[in-house]
Amino acid sequence: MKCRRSRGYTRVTESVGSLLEVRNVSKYFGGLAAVSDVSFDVSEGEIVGLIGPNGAGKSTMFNLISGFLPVDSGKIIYAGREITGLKAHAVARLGIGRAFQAPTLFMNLSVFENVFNGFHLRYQKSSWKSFFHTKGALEEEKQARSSVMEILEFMGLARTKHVQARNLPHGHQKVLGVCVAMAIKPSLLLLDEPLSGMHPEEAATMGEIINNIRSSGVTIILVEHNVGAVMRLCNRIVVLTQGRKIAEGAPKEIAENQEVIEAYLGTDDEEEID
Amino acid sequence: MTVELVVQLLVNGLSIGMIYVLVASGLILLLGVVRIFNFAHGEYYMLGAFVTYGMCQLLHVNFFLSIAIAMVAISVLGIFSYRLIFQHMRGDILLCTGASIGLSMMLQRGALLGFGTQQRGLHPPVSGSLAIGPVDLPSEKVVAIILCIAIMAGLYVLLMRTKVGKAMRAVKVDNEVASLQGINTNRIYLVVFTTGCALAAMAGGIIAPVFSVTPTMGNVILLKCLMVLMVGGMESMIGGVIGGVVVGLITSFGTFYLGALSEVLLFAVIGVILVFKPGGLFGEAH
Amino acid sequence: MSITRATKKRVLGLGVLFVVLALLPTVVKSPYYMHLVIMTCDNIILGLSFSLLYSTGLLTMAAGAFWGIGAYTSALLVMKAGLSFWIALPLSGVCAALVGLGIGSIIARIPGIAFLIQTMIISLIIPEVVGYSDFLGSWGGLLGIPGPSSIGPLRFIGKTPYYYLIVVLLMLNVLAFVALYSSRVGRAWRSIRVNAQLAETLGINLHWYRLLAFIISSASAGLAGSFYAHYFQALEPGMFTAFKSINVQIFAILGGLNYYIVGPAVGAAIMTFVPELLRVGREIEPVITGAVLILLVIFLPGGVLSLRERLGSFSWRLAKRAGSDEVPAEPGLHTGD
Repeated sequence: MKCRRSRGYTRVTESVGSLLEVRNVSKYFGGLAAVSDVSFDVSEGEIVGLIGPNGAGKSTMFNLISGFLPVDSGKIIYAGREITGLKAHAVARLGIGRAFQAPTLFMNLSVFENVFNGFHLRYQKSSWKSFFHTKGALEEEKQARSSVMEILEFMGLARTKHVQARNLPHGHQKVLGVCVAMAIKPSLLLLDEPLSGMHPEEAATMGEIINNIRSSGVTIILVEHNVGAVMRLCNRIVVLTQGRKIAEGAPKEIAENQEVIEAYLGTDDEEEID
Repeated sequence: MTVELVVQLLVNGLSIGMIYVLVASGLILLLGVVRIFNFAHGEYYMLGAFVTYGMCQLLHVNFFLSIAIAMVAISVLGIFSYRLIFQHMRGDILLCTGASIGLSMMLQRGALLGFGTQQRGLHPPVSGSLAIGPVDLPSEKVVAIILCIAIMAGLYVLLMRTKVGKAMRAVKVDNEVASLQGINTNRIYLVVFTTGCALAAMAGGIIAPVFSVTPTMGNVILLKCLMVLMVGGMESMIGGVIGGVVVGLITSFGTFYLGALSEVLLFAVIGVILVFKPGGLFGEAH
Repeated sequence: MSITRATKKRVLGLGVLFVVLALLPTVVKSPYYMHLVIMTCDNIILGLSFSLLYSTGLLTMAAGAFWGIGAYTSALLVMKAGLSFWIALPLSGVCAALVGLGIGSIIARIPGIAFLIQTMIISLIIPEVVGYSDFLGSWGGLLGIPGPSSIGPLRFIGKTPYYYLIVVLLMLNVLAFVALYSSRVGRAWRSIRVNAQLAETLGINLHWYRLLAFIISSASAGLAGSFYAHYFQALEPGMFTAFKSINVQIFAILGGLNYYIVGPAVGAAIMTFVPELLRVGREIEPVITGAVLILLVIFLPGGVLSLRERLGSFSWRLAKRAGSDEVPAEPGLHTGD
């Protein structure tokens, strides 16, 4: 697995095995197992959906992969390198990006500034040079600014670039969250319920964005309640229930899997199947 | 190091420790449920002590009744403080800190100007000493310990068995969900705040016969309570109890063997705890 | 507006300020007022150190404690180790920074109210430690601390040389902080303050940046203390009780927390001059300060400078840009995550 480094951030270029390997990962809260002995792989270029009824452990799984929670047992391997136990910032620096379910933004800053923050931290040559505002630092800033515009245009937010994040409608905020996550040029992107709270049109736009991101070479793992969207977008689906994996496979297989159907019908869970 | 000495220090440590527990419990409730921090909490303790002193020593009211009166008086003050000041700043550390420090300055200085600096002593309701085995225990300290334990037991019952208590715990866990369940969160915040003040006032009253009553006694208790929170964790009642006892015992033994350096010892102990458990013994690291 | 133009404007503004400050002693002859000016400058440095940490989202009550550490270190280096003030000054800063490193590694891990409480404990303990140590002069303190030794023709007699010294220190401090704020480090700090979780997903090591801010803040406070030791030439533990740290916090809140440079300056100036000018009795001062603080927090949480913002005059926009958020955030800071 070849990794090209760019100022502390790693970008995967060639793949032999899986991009992400989750091996027998468990996480307990008190006595309760939020995630219990879960294993799955994600190959480069896939969009993998992580679904399951409420409380299945999907968000916990994301927190474990992205380093926000420590693993109790098991391993997580990314691009051939074990990342179990790494803190969130270290995981991000290795090229795993994350968007949160609730819009997680720098609310007081503009759309442009939000994404710029992500870039700035990535590309800035060194603190000293920016401290003294050298020409090199200024060049870099110009570059970063144009890269930010690239992302905004790619995601369709270019026109609102000066709007303060807190004044954006919910749907745009979610898209902005994805933009910011993309600013660190991740190889793997974790999207936590990107479609939640969106109108059908917004959801369709987000679906398009997700596909475009995958086409640009980024692998995606998606947690979603909107089972229909998951079926449409994902190559493979992993189903969790009460912390355990109960099924894994192509959308069609999952749709016909008895256990999965029971898991969903067994709870009073509300799903939308378009 | 005789048995008698150890027992004396133990009783001493437990008596002040239980006081710390009472006062710290108030702070823990405030932090956990109402989500504010009140740096003037020590002043409620101090005022509770003064009211108790005034009632008991000057007006010759029964000691226990005096404490009850102090509790009520300070609760009223608490209601005013909450409605006028703290209600608007739940969740905001900066505003809470600023306002409560301001309140603390006003109350403390006001008490200094009003009551003067002399130390006042309250004659203990039960005097003399209690003989247990070969050891003579100062009875006012034993009374203090017993009273504190009783109040903590009452607090436990309140939190675990009564409707109000369950509502408080619900609000602590998730105030949005709690309000969806029909709990009047605003009223709960007020009740909890007032309970916290009452606890502090009670502690002040209970300790009045044991140690002297001065306008600056709030400072010491606040420092000790901050330490209790750091040792035990800021939102855990169990942490408060254990933390209070630990701090009390270290203070007692430390002061005897090390004099004023006992504070430094406490500080060092806290430092060590924080290295391994940044949130305190029973706190969360995040 | 690119950084170059903003920097030029900043430098110009500072140039004007430099001239005013350089000529001040010719206008102000009274030693009493010069003393107030000197004290204000020392207080501004403290206020700046507080705001530096606030830009990360951390509220500290330890500014006074580090000031005291710097002051005592400097005094002892000169008095007991025989070093020149000019060596003791930077050394005190380093010493305060090291203490900051030690303490910060433990406490800067959990932000919010826990950090605040821990710094408060520090500010309460440190004067006690000093008070009980005979080596450190105990409660009576250190007296007869020598002033700075002469450099060339400049001898430290009278207020004026001290004035220039503190102004130079202040300006260096401001320049350093402005540079920090407009650099990647400053951006990281502000990101942490606005949304720490998001900052983490962008690869920012929260603990490291908070620790860095704590170290710089401590060093800065220590330098201010070192100056004071050799200016006032007497020190006692009562000078840096928690009260001092509370005052520092008031400087920042009063001025306006969103203005990392100008806010503490305005706040320190007001808090240093106004109580003196109003001849408020020493006794009643805390009551009034306390009341003002409560009213401030309830009615004007953005500080004095937030009023100016509404008038929108040019010079204040300039001042605002010199180290602040792009758009002022809510001054509040929420407990828990």
